Amino acid sequence: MFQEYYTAVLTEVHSNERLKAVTNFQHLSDPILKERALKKWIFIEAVNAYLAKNGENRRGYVEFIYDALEQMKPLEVHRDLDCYKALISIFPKGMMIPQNVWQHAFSHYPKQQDCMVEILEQLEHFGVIPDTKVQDAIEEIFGTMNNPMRKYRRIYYMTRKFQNRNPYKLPYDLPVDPIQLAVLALRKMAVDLENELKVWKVSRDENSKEKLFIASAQSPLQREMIHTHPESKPIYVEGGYRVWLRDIPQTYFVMRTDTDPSIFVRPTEEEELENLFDFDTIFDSEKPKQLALKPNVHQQEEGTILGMCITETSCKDSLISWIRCLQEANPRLESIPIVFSLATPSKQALVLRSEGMQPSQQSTNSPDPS
Amino acid sequence: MLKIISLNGLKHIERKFKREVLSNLSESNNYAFLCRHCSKAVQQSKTSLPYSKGQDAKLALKQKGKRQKNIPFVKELFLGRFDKEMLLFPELDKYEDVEHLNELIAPVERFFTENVDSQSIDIEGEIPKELIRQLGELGLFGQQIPHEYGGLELDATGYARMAEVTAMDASVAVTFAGHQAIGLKGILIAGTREQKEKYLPKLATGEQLAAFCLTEPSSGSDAASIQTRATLSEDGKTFHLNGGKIWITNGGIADVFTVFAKTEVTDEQGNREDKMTAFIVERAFGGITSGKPEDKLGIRGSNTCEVHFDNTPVPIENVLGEVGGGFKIAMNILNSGRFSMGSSGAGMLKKLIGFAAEHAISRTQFKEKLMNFGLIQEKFSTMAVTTYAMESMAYLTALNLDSYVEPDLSVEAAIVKVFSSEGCWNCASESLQVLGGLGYMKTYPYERYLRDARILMIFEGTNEILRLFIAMNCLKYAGKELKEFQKLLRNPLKNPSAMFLFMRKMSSRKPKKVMHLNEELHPTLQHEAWMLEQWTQYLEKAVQKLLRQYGNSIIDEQFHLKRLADMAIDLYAMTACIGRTSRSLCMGLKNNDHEKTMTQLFCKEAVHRLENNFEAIMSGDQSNGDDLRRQIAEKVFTEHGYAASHPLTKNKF
Repeated sequence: MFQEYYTAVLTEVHSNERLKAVTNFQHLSDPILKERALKKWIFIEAVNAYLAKNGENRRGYVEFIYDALEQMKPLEVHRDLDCYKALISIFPKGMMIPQNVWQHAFSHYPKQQDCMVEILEQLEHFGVIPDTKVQDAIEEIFGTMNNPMRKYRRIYYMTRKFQNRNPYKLPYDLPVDPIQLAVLALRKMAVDLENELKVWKVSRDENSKEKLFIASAQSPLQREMIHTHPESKPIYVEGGYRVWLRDIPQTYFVMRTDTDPSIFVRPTEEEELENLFDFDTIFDSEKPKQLALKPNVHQQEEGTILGMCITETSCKDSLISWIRCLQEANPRLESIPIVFSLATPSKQALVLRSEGMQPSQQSTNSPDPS
Repeated sequence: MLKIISLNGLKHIERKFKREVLSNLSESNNYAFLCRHCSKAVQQSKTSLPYSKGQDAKLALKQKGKRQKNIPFVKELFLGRFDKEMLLFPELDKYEDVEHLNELIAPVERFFTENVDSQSIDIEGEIPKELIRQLGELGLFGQQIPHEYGGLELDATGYARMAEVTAMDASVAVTFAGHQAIGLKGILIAGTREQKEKYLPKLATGEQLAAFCLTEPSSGSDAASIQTRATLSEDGKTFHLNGGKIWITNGGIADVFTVFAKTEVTDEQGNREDKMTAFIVERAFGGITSGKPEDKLGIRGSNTCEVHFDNTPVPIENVLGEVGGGFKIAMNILNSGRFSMGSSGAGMLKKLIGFAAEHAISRTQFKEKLMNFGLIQEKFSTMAVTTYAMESMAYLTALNLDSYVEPDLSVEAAIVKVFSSEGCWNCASESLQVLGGLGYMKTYPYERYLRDARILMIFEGTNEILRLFIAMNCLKYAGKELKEFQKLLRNPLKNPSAMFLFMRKMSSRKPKKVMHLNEELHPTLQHEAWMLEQWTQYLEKAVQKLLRQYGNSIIDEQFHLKRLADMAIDLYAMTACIGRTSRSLCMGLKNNDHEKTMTQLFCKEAVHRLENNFEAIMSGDQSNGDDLRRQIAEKVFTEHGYAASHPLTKNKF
């Protein structure tokens, strides 16, 4: 039902010149942002159209709301508080407030209360923090002591308390620019406090003018490790790992080398007892024993990480360009052998059919001849 | 010959007498190593004996009265053993020795008061060349150089006494220190006869100045990480120096540098590694450039600049010590000059207290003299007590350095340095505070003293490094004995009787009076003696607890190492004050009751600090706040700065 209203408003916007001018959104430069603003505008206009068409006695508004809730994710308005407020405004005000003891005791207008709770549930699921206006609206609709109000108060309390607890907190609206997304992802993943992020723009080949970005993260410590890396050992570029920024995946690649396992060797208890209190301090000798052993933050047992990158195309050519860009600050990379072991994350899912156990690709449905 | 003051004071004198007897004295006037400071004597010695024989004879004379090795006092404290020798405050042998020293100091003091204009040196940022020449004429550039090379041959005590006077102008004092305490000390300690003959005469008169080149941009406290290289030439006769050093005192005006560089050394197994070597480098060798003098907060008259070496040729005869042995030489040089900071700090503070007291006596506010107000009295008592402790420690260390052939007082010297540097900074600040606004103005010297005092905590080993030095060295010494006990604890059934004794000792928390320290002291100091004993035993307990808990990784627990070092500092300072007071009381020196009150106050305050440190060590990381400190610091580093939200922050909703 909601789809009808939505498509109606959509066609109006495309045909009507005045509406087109209104929905131009000149202050936004990016076309994706314009599209999102347009969708939000149409969503709210669809709700208004519904309200306008069905007056005081709007029937079936609960079904309408459930439809709209389902449509929010595909239309990408699921994180927008204004859209939820628009849906909340569909409820008639005043009539559902309990008037006597019995109405208070039993859930008054249970279907509508459940619907409101569903709205709030979806709101909470997508991490939207409601504000006090939502509380006022619920109070006007259902009164003060009811299920939606309890739900609302719990959401309000908990999400406000937890809103800053994520140490890797992302901005509320993720940026659209892929370079900024890559930078966010790399910043989240980089462990070294001295980590430096660099973005290069390289052209795909000599002829094309199009410039593709390469975002790379490396710290001075990693550069030093490359500088002292022996030329006999190879460096591996491994990749196609995926990192999520809320619901947007980024594909990153890692430059890694094998770690010398001797640095992880801990002295056994007997050895410790033998050398107990045999302190060889920084004041006794130039190279005291105790200083040598500790592995730094990049040296793990699986390997030593020497750099990370996210490229626009995630193909092997882009990685070769990455290495070439890195050679500016790490001249040793020219002489050390580099091995690529890549596997791009599959964009297509493999689905196993029940008969014959044959894997088939889930693409457009091909019509069955039979 | 020695008057008996009191029956118990006899003990003090008795022990001293015993010491003389023990060292096989035949002639009565023969503590020759403690004197010889008349200018007459200097001239005489130059012409007296053919030097090789005379050198040995003198050395023999020097060492005749000395004992071989001392018991390392602070290291023994960590094992709960108090060496009572340290309570016997040493002294110069005869009255004439003290007189000689004072006669040497007097003209220098007069010179500093009349001819050295500290204010203009501070403003200009430079010591005039004429002044340097005059200081050279006084012989102040060769205070520790032997007579035969033209120096004053002051021993540790004389040097400390002279430092009190030269501290009147901090820039001059630092120039001296850069020249002789570290610059040419390498030649004195580790130089061959030829090297000494070649360089020391000119250095002693101040005709040439010396500098100590160790610090580089990437290595300050971490001396072993220097990157200046010295490569041996093909014929094996010259080293070529390449590299740069920063913040070198006297770097722009020196002619002789003690430079530390990495050389490739092959050991017996044929392995090659880089080791530090010390070189004597003359500016005349070529390839040496000094940068512009640095503009500093304090000691502005001292010349501090970068020194760059570009393929400087250094003949192999100029290697100090042996190739690859530079690290030890550097450590020895730095360890040997530290104790004088106590006396120079005390000299500076005595002046400041005098000025501030004059002000407090004469200034009236609220119809009363400042000196009658409690807060002012508190300040002056703090300053006086700190100065007293500084002085006592410095001279205790210096006199003990002179009493032994191979003294091991590096930890004690470090303690003197840490205490004095922090004491100077705090007391200079307090004396400025007494004057209030006047102290803040440049017309008065207080702000200059404060600025000059700030560097004391940084150079000659930062206080943080020295605290680690004190704690680690003492733990190493203590750990050797406790190693056996640790093994015992791991296998308790192997030696049950020793185990039982150990556990019994561990369980008794309260210290017991077993050392009888009060018998070595004047009877009025009984309470202080008990405090010393008590806290030595507590220190032992703390050490054992930490070694038991952390094992080998105690050297990474810097929070605890700092507390141990602070306890050691307080104990050593208490010992020095108590020893000196006891001597003063026994001998009837002037104002010895004042000394006693100062000692009592110092001990009271020291015990407070000791209590806090002890409780923090024993109660562990969760209770003493160390866990919290680590978490806070980690967060500040993760957030690259202050991490709390602004107090005005509100939620948008």
